[in-house]
Amino acid sequence: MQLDEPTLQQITVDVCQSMLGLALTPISSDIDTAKQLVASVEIRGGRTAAVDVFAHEHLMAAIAETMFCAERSSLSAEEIRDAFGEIANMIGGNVKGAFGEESDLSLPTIGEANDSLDRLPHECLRTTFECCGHPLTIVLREADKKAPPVELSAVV
Amino acid sequence: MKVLIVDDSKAMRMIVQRTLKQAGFANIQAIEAANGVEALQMIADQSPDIVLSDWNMPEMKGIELLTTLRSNGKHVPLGFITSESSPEIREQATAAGAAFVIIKPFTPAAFEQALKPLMA
Repeated sequence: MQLDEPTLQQITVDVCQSMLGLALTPISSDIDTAKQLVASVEIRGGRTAAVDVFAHEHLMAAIAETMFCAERSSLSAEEIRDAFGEIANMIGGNVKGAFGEESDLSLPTIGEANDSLDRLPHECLRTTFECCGHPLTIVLREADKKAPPVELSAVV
Repeated sequence: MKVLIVDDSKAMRMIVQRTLKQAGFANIQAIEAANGVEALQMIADQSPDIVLSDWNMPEMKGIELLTTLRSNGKHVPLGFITSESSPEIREQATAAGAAFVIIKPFTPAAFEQALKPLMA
């Protein structure tokens, strides 16, 4: 199955809004990634792709507050990263399911976003929401089957 | 009733606990493990009544946990709670003897439907 932006948006809404109660509003994806972090999972097998979730550290903390039902002051940096990684894991798992081909899902990794959104290939799928007053960007990068193998995690 | 929640994400273990309560399972004692290896030890030490396990974890995946339990003659009911929503995962889980598969994102209603028969 070829994934389109509405499907990626729906998966994100199901994870963040329906399950966690975080309100999402679609916005322009022209986002400054300074001080943002990215949580990534890779899908390898019948289809090879990566799902990246970009968020500012304030949004990561807000997500963690919701997931842990706790004030930010009581959460450790590790707990905030854990919650953010789980968002990428859930979105990535559902993207893998939507592909409908046998493949493996990696554990999430988290790194600095820097200017990685600007360096993404044009053909990747991206969608951005406003969440808790901050942008939340989801990117699906799929490897071209005809092209030589690429290191999907190189963007992080 | 003692429920072992196995997930490498602490945030997700907390959400699962919360969702169990929202689904009406108030009288449970939740214990936690971060991967299959820890879970095997806790099952041996604490004999939970039900195991709720993630699929994709470091050290030992959920499906390896289930097959190891069954090959060791342990028949504690085990259900998966996973973002792995593909049909082959569900088939693999069912073939290995999983009681159910709940897909993340989930709702309290999904927990109620899957767990009620085991809680009776």
